[in-house]
Amino acid sequence: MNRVGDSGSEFDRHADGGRSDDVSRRVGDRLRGMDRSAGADRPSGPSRPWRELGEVQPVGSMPDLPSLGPTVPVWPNLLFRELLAVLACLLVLLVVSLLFNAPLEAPADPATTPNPAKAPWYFVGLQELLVYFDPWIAGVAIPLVIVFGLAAIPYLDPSRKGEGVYTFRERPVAVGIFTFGLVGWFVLILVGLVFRGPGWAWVWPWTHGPVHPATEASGSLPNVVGVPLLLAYFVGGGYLLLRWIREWVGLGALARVTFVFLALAFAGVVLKIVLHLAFGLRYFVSFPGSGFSV
Amino acid sequence: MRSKGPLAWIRRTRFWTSVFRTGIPKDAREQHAVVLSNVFLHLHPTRVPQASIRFIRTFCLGGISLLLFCVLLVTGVLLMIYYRPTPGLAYTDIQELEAVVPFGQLLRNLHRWSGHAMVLAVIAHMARVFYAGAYRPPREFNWVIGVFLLVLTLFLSFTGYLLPWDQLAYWAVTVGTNMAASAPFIGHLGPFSVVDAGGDARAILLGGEVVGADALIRFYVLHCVVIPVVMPLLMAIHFYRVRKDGGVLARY
Ligand code: HEM
Repeated sequence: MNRVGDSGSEFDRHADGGRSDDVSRRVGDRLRGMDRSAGADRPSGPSRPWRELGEVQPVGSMPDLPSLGPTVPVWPNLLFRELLAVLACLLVLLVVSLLFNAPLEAPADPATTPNPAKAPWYFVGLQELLVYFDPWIAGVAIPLVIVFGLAAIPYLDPSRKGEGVYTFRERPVAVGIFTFGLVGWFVLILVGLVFRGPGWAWVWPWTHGPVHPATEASGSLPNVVGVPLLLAYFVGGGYLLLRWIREWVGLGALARVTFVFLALAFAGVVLKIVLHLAFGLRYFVSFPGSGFSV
Repeated sequence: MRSKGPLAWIRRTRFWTSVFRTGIPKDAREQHAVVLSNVFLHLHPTRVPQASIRFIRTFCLGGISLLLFCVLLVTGVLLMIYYRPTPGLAYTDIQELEAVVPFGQLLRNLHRWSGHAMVLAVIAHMARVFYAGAYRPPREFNWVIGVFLLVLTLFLSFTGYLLPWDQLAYWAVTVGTNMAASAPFIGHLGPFSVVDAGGDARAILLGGEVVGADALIRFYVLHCVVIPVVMPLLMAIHFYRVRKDGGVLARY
């Protein structure tokens, strides 16, 4: 079964003793849990008084009970902590709300466009991407791919390493990609929120007016170069990546293609930003008639 | 020995004991009974692994997201009493809320800052789940439900952003919804567009070509009814699955 030997790759699920099989067995056990002789594997009697109260069986709520270590009653251990967290949060909220008023600007006026007009902070990162991409990419394609990519994460990572602890060493690829994306998202937000002025030109927040006048990047590749380049990137690059990750045991064909698509899209966005900043690149390919430009 | 005093007496009345079937737990048996017999506490099992309730395992972030959602529900319902979603009234209603309604400014502040905090908390919760590797089997689908919750949280915040009907609200939502006009095929500015400005994705969102009265009522309904109804449904599934999948993942 194990095609890469004991390389111990992060994506090699068999290298750690086939825990994924354990999982399906555990789930099966749970479904059959009903007809197990109740609590045969657990002590009963006065030391476990909650037994008679119909405690949810460990097969139902706690797979792997032994490996989870000792348990404590929820009352008071967990409930006390929750109460503490609730009170602390409410206190912070109250203090902040007493100190800072929610903004209320002049009444809405469709005739007066503020410059710049900024989206709510959590979407400013996408707005910042408009510097580098056409609106259909920055505002539609990229958010859709992000949401799809996030939802796909569990199906693209077959490893069983580093669960229930925070670790970089046990799963460097996964942690690396996710952290890069998360930090990148907030860097874009920060740039859009703090460093963009009228006309979305770069400003230093401590000066008045733009430092660099807003410039339109104009250098586009001719389509005869751009089209083959894009094809080479997605088709050729995809083929190579697919061959490379074939070594990652435990991913089905669909998952591999998905992973490769997401990886190329992610890297492509970063690449385009770099090329734009370094060489003022505007488009790889451009078909003004249809509005399709990348 | 029976404790004395009016509170103790109330807790012994037939009515009180019919509501709360267990008092403050005095022994191990009652500690478990109290969790089992209360519908809210029963979100939890009666016992949890000690390793999984350490602060560092969750930073309480899922719970904080839930708490902020509840704060938003309460303050939001109170705001609805003073707010009418039409371009002529929305802005002045907010002004009156701040100037005339007792604690109106505080109410609005609480709602506003909780909204921002919830977006942050949900993102942070997602990050902590990721770094804990807690999306692996059998938790994969709960992660997917979480992603839906994240998207809904963003929509909840975004639809609320328009309601004060000030310049900030109006133009932020104009910028945001303009994106829909550039969607491929279904946006009139997008590539391969097959629609005109009056019938594209943005027009469906706004009920017109610009942010106006129709957009305000749409956002109001989404913000006050649709999303707040859908989210608790998803949360119920989310929490149920957290329990069924063995609670918060912790390596012992
Ligand atoms: C409104 C938003 C959300 C609420 C109220 C919420 C609430 C919770 C709560 C209370 C828990 C229990 C443990 C903890 O506090 O960490 C939890 C666990 C979990 N959440 Fe969320 N969550 C939300 C959004 C999300 C998002 C955006 C994701 C991921 C994309 C997610 C994925 C998960 C997973 C996989 C678990 C199980 C973690 C484990 O077993 O250790 N949730 N959630």
